[in-house]
Amino acid sequence: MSSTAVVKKNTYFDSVSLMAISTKANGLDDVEQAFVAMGTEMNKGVLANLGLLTPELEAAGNGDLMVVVEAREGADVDTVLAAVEELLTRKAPSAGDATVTHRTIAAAAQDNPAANLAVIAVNGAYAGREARKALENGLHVLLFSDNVSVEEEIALKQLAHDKGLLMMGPDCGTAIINNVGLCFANAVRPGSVGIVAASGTGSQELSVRIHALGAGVSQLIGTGGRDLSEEVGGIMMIDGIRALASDPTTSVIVLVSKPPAPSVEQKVLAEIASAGKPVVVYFVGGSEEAVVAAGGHFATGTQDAALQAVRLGADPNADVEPLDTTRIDEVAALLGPEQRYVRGLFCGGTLCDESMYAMLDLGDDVWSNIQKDPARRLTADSPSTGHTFLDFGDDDFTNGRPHPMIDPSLRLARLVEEAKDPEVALIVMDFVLGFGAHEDPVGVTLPAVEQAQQIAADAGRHLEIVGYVLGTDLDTPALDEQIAALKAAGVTVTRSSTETGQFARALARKVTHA
Amino acid sequence: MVSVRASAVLHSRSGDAALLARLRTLRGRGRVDSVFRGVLNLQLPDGELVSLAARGCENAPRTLIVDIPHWGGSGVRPGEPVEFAPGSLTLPGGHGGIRICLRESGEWNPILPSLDQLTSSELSTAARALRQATYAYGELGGMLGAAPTAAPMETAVCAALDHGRRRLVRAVRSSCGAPYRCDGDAVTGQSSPSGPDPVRRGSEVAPTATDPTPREAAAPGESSSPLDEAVLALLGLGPGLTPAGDDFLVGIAVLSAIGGSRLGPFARALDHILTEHPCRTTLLSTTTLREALAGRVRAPLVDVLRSLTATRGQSDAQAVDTIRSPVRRALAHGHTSGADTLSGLVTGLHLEKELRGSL
Repeated sequence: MSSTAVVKKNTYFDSVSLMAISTKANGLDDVEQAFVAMGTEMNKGVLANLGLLTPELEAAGNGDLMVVVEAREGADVDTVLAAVEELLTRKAPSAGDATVTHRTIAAAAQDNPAANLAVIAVNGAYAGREARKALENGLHVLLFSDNVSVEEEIALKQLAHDKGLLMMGPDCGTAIINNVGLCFANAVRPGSVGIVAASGTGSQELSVRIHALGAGVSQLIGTGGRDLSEEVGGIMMIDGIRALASDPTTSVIVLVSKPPAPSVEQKVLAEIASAGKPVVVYFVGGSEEAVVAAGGHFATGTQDAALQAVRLGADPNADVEPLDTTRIDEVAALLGPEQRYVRGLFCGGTLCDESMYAMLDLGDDVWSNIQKDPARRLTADSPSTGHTFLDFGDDDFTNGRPHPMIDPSLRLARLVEEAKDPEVALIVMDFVLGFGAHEDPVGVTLPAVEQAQQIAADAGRHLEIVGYVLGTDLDTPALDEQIAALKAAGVTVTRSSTETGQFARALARKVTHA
Repeated sequence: MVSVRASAVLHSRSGDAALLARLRTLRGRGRVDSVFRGVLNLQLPDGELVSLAARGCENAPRTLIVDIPHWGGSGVRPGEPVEFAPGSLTLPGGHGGIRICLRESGEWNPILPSLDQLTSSELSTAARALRQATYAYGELGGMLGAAPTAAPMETAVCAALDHGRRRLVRAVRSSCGAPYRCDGDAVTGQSSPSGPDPVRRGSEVAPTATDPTPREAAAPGESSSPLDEAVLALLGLGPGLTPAGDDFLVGIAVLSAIGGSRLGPFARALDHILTEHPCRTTLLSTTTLREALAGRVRAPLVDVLRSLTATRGQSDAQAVDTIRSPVRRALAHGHTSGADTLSGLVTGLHLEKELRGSL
């Protein structure tokens, strides 16, 4: 048996690669044993004790890689060494090398004849032009960009309608098409529930609730937030309903939107009668009478919409556990007499809306940057008052900044500010997982949570913080880890957007009437 | 909404707040130190090491998370120049370079929890739970001991690591609780009269085939304490870019940085050794150890420490349940790096508990 050594000057491998190389080298036919390590003094010490330290290895520096190979009796050392060298030089294939960049949509469409959808995210000034090119090349479009004029939006949607294509957006952040999540979406199982949504996080919440109930999503078609406005007239939502009506894998349709214009609501509801499939409708703050009259199934919230859809399309026995009020009683007992207000700090507009509407059951002292009542509407600069619910994804907060699902800094600062208010009993927050979102939304928030708790504790107050993590067990980062991290920090974790609103309302009611 | 810009402009999504503050005003030329699929390591103009991690990596000291799936195919190579300008840096890859903008970067601050509220008995519970979870979910190798199928050289390294751990524990027990003097270049530790037998330099354990004698243990004319030598016996030991011995020391170092820790003498010894023996291990490892001494470690380790504080009043089984998720996330780092660092935390927690009793 003979040993040989090679020193690779200034060569680095991460430890996983290094161990993989070492394992493969030890598995080579003529290798008795192989050792691959950085040339540190202590590693040289181990080799010296084993009698394997050669002058060449002795001269290795801590930035050099030492390769020591003991060949089997009779093996050709040079051949063995060459095989080990090959392992070192064979780099892992890089997925990045396979990426092809096209300079125009037309070239991309030509190069990829099987492609039938374009995701467009360019400056709003050019977004309409690029979307039109895609539609003219026969591609469905998801237009992520905003700042597209309403006239251009109408023209694009009309063009798509005429061509039988989907025009999702502008300002469309979420879609799941044929089980592929686009932009901000969650990893959910395929299934029979089709969704048409004018609300990004609302549709994300619906999809994860459906997944949590054991069912799955056939398609999630986004329309863009302005589709149900008077001007646009719901062109995309109506086309979306028709697309899902003719989709054989979809057995039930769910519609979700922030409050639509009354005339558009009528048009959309008229469409559901001819869908030929059950349609569940959750328009935040919408009228049950109108939905039922149109033959639809009225949902009171995202959880209810998901539950009804799953019962209608997959599992008639599906159910959810009711709100556990034990924690509310515990929290109420910890609060001082001054502490009576809820502050909601949300990334998701519909999640904010849902909690805000829950609070409106208690009275009018509910303020927000997305309040329908102009008298109780706040701006990004307004201090909180009464029960305040802020949607940090609204234009007022995102002007010139990334969405809070990517950059949480404004929300973190506000969390700390709210903790200083002696009238605050509860702070409610959402954490959105999934494609496109922050890689660790809980982790990045915990230092601010701790700071907020400390501020309240220093003032002799208990500050209750409630968090809802929107995600599935298939998402990255792992849902259970994000929840565990919140719980470890003393945050109460709710199980859905609906339950978050219920918790806030129940606690506010309890402290008000205590 | 986010707009997508030219392909040669990337954005930092989040980053070490201290590093971001520095980069916002830094101007000059650095160089690419090393290139991996997930991470680019760069040297600043003054030679300090910083990392650009791809999307999906965890926040860490001296690290920016860049909105790129990975660095494969970026064309960036070690040794190439990196231009730093206030608020951005430009890498040599791509067509005309890759500019990394820092303007939209979220700020990450590693804030360590206090362990003060844990009683001695609760520290023991936390240590036992952490050890149990680390062995349950970690792979053998490094500080967890060699796998039965390991090659002889790997087994030898694991044996040396185990020896180093035992030696360090004895040295810390002897040194802590006694006056520890640090005057300029000379560092002297004296054993506690009430503690276990003093560990004498070079004589506490008989040399074995797997006991590498520390090399360059002390510079000529400089005295060296048993604690110094115990640190030296682990520093740089192990095959990886952050050797297992160093990862283990990181675990103890971060505990020593928590307010009220009794591990101060260890911290001073490690700091002294890193200063006196700058070439004892890799630059990346030295940087990581320095940061740990300042209480700055990767986000998953901070999460583990937070979860440990949540085990207060729990049984062993409940404590394992409490820390399971963050431990698994911490173990996902490197080949055995995560497990090696958690082993350091286990040892550090036991020492912390013992030293509380000695004061």
